[in-house]
Amino acid sequence: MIKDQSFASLGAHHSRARFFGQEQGQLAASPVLLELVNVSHSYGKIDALKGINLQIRGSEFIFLTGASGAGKSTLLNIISGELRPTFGNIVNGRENLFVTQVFQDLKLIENVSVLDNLRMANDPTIYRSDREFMNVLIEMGKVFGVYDAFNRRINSLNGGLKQKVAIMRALLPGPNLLVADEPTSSLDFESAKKLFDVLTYYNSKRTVSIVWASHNRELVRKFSGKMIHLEKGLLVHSGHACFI
Amino acid sequence: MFYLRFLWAQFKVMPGKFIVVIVLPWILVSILKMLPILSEKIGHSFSAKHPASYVNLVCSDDELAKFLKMKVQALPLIGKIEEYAIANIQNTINKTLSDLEIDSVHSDDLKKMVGLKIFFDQKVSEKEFELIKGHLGRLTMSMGPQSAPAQGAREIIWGPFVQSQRSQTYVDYLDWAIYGVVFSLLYLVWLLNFLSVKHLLVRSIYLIERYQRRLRVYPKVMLIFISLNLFVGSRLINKNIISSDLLHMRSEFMPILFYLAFMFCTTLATLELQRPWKKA
Repeated sequence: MIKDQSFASLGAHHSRARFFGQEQGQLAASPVLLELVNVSHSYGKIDALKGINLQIRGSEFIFLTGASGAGKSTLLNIISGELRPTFGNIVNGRENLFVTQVFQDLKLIENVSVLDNLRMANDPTIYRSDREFMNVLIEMGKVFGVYDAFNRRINSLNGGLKQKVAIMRALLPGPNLLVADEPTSSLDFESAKKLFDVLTYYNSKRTVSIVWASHNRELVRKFSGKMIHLEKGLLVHSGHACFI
Repeated sequence: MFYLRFLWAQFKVMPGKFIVVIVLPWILVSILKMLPILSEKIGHSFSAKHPASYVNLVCSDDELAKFLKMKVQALPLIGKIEEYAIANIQNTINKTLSDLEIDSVHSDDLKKMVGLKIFFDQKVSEKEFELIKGHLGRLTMSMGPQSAPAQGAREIIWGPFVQSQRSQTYVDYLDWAIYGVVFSLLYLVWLLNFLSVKHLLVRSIYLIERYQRRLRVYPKVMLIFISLNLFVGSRLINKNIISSDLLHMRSEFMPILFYLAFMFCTTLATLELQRPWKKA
């Protein structure tokens, strides 16, 4: 089991961090949002996760990698509160921590429009009126390239558009932490890169912490930030991408 | 307001199914109200095949019949008492007297006579029947000659005591059995319709809880949904689309009871189904 190495790696790689819009020392100053302490989870006799220790800080962008069956989805579900770990503790670093998730199966309502799906995220604690929500929604729709499809039904969209809608829905309520389970699996590299850039923008400007699970090696290679690698339920690497 | 708007948005997705789910229980309850008629018919045919213990008696006048009926009802072991309908008195008494091979009754006296059929609630032995018979005889005597009709003394003519293993309460059990079967069938029909609506609601509520800072959305939506259901039901009653008797507990309480059972069972069932969706 390898402990979280974000602090150890930070000093050595601050120049790279600055390149991606993060000031030196920003990560160290960010408070801990969520801490997993010796978390394990098993499905019957199968151990999906074993003794995971992990800290997620404010404004942190974490890439989660690992082969199929390594425990990525389980870890994401535990972070998002979807699953309760069979062993270990989860400590919330702040009150009213709000976590949203981009599910692997997206969980969009197929027979209704994109707009109605996105309205699910009209959180009154964030938006004072429907108008305010719609303004943000339209702006985000244009950024994601979904604006023209607002009135189309989900079941008429291609996989890539569906994924964008799911990501938008997760971003709209202004979460503290966004957990995304392979959100670009239906996208080509260029589209995935664009989406990644948008999320990086939200991460840096809107201080949304993001945990992104991906198989996309090219994307991971371009990534600079914290990276976690899982193998057979064990956290085998944790630290800055360049360091790893 | 949010929850009403939420339900309206869900309604727009599958309006037909929502209407069926909201209106059908009330229509079903209206149908349930017709069941006593069916139950009575079946009960009569059942009674004809498997009669309860009973005895027929003929009272010399209406006053005596009413007096005895009142007194007999207070006795133990007695089930229901049937008084022969006025229109059928002549035929029934004639038949009874003919069965008893009594031909010497005067036709004017015959018109005054009233028949009673007394059903016993439980199995009654000959000895117990004799005690009842003696008691009724004494009661008849106790009415006194001063109030007796001018034509003659008051008297009772007893028919044969028919003994059966079956008690009268079987008829009541039958009522409940019929209600149970019909309720189960109707509930199944309603549940099948409800499941598709529920599926949409549960999914949407789950997403609301995931993407908005709201808690316990499910019970709140269910509460509003049931309230809406009752509101729509009362509107239907006001417009005389369904029976207004439903509002009064003096009518058979069973339809109301079964309606509440509808809601309760379904709420429980859906809560159970919703559990895996809950956040840890």
